Amino acid sequence: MMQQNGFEQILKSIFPEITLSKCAQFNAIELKPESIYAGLEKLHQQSDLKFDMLVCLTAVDRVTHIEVLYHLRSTFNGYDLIVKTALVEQPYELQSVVPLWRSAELFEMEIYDMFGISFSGHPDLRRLFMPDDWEGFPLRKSYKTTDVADNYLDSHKLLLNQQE
Amino acid sequence: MEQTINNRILQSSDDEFIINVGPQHPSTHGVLHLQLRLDGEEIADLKPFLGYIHRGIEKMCESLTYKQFIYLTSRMDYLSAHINNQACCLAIEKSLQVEVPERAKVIRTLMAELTRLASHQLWWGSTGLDMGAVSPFFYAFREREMILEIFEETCGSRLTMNYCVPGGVMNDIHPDFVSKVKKLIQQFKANIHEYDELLTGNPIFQSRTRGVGYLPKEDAISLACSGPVARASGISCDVRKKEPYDAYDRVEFEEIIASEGDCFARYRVRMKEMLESMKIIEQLIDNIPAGDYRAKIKGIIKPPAGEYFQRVETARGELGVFIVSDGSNKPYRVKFRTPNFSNLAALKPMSLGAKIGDLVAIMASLDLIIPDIDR
Amino acid sequence: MITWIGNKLTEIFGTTLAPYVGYVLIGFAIITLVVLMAVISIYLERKIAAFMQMRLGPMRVGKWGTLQAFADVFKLMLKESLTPAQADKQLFNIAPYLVLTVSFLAFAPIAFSPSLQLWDLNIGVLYVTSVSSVGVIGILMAGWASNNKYSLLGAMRSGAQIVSYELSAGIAILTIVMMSGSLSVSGIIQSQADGWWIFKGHIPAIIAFVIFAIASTAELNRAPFDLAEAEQELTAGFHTEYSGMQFAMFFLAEYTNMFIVSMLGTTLFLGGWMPLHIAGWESFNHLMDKIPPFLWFFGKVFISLFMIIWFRWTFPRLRIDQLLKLEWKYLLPIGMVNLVFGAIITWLGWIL
Repeated sequence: MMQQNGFEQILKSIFPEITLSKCAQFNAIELKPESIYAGLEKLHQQSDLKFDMLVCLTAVDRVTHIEVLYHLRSTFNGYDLIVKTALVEQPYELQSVVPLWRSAELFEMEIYDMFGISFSGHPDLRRLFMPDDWEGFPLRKSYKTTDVADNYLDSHKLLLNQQE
Repeated sequence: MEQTINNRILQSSDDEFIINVGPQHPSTHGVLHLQLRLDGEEIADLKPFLGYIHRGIEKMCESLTYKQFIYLTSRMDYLSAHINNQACCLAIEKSLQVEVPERAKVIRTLMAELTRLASHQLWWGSTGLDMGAVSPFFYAFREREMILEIFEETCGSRLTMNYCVPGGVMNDIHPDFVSKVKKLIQQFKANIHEYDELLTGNPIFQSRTRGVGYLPKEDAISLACSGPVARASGISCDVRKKEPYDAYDRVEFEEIIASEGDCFARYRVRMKEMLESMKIIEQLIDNIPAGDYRAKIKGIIKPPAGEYFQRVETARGELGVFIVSDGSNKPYRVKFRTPNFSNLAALKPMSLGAKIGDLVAIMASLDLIIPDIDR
Repeated sequence: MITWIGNKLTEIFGTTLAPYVGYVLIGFAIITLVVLMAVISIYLERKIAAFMQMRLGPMRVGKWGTLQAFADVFKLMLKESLTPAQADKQLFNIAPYLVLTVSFLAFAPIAFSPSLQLWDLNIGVLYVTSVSSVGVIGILMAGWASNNKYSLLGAMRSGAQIVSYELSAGIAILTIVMMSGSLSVSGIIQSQADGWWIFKGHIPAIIAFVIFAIASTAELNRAPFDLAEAEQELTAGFHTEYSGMQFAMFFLAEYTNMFIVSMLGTTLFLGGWMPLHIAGWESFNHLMDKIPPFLWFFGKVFISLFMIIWFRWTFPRLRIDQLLKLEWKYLLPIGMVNLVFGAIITWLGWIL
């Protein structure tokens, strides 16, 4: 528990106005989308925390907003921290964290592909899994699986017929 | 449209040329598509293209109930299918706060280690194959076949076993299970020297792997590598040690860490891991506790709203299962943090400046499973 | 028997036509022999590989799968030979024939037994080495004409590989030529009447044999030197785009070349058709003489063949820079020093 208190204090020293919450079994903090890069950079560089590994980067569509979760880990002291941010307004945009963690490159591509969040400053932002001409972003709640698949197949049937 | 097509092609100068490795290529072990820019034999640039086996498992999970979606995960990393299922079950159990019977815990752990052993044996065989040595493959399959037969007897299937259920395991172990596992241990120990004689000690194999595909520790951390790839670069990251789940807290085993960070280090880490798995199996096989093999769980699982996360160590690294529940019988969002997805990112820094032959060796040492990347 | 056939032919065709008919018949005979041997070696390779890998190998066609290779040949004959649309059609279609023709040509001066030799050329060994090096042109043609980058890479590798390993093979052959004092195949075999070179040639002959074994395996493009067709790297290298009978030509050429290399090795180092004699063991030597020379010859050839197959199914593949390093930094200097050493031994007359 000492560890937990110490951890909280260090976090408070970096972000005075932050409240520590829980996400699954991990500590979580929430940052504003505009200040996400600056905040993460502090967490990456702060000598006591040194979150040097971005284990996972994912998003959850909460209908009213899209929540982006950065799962950070420190290989020095074993801390785990989840940094959340909420994107409310379209177009969804965030600053890329590739300069801090190289693992972000693929993660951000996947999120761009699945949620349509564009990351400014990403070296090679393209659709990772879906075809380039795919419409819509599959993991959003507004995405209707049946319509989109049918439309895509129809348009390609048309293309095939034209070629013949 | 033209813009997007240009996106997909690497630019090359006059004395370099572009070559596509995959999606159908013998050494990519699946439908990985890499575009290489080659300067003679040397790799000047590399770009992976994914999605050839993207099935939208995360989206599919949102329309399936908790009991159903577990079995989709067998199709991610099909060589550690049981461990994937185990991760999902552990996450669901955590959300329901169910206490799993001791017997189930031990059986799950045993199965997970057998899966790891089978997976590493396949990797060993295919590493030889990628290097041009065909014979090791058959020697690896000799023991792997025994493991798959054990699976078949107890679970009814050989690869995607679907043996884990929330609260325990599907059914009790086969009466022959213990004796067959003991026979396997005996045979494996008698034959392990052949593995070393065929490949490990071979000077050609060593010259192909030593110093090739060097991944420094800092890079491995920055790229979020896990499993044997990270451990060969000197990072201690075995989830079985860090956050013991199921029966891992009661067994003694060593976390294999090497510091060289090259292909040969990754090879040695996996070879030693096989022996450690053997050790775990030996400790557990004689002490399977009596009792229920499954806890009673309601027919319809409705975890309370919230977020649940469970990580496990698959044969390839850290698998994280992140479930967001809204209190209904279907998950609101499921995210799989798969080990191969992150390990793939290490391919480019390792293979720049290497030869085509090295690329094959590096891919073999990463042990990529493409469905696990694409999901 | 040969004179009898000759007389018969003169009777039927007259003196002017008879030699030509004879040549055609010999040609047919040798091609049949070569193809038959290639088919046998394919079967052998598959069986040996299977036993090394705890399998049974081909078992279905014929007793113990003996007819499997024939079935494969028929299958390949019936398949369509595709030419890629963007390929250089002429070169693409010539290449497999060139490769196969060259390997047939190399058979001419080989002595199967004292009386069975097509052409006792006085520079027989030189002829074999020079003719067999033309084969690489066929491989380069195939790789270039396929208009496939994998094929091109394979052909480039093959070119670099064969050109460099030919040097070592040549120097190893030269060591024996120097010791025996003859370039003709029959001369070299005759010089081994009192003992094979590998036994009586001291250390230089043994070193030369090892170098020859490595270099000739490399020239054959077989594992561990099969970089030109490295399946896991270049899918199939220079013959990626070939199918049907054209692919079969490459396949046949590979196995024919295996035979030529084994025969050359046997001729140079293992005494050709000479039986095994051990000095002082008169009755043993007498018994060995009873075995017909061509059995001796083919026995030795199959032993060397087994060695080449053994290499293939045990070793992993080298990388291109390691391959060239092995040749230029190790084999070639060792071979040269060995040649000088051999020359000194020959000069001092230390040969047993």
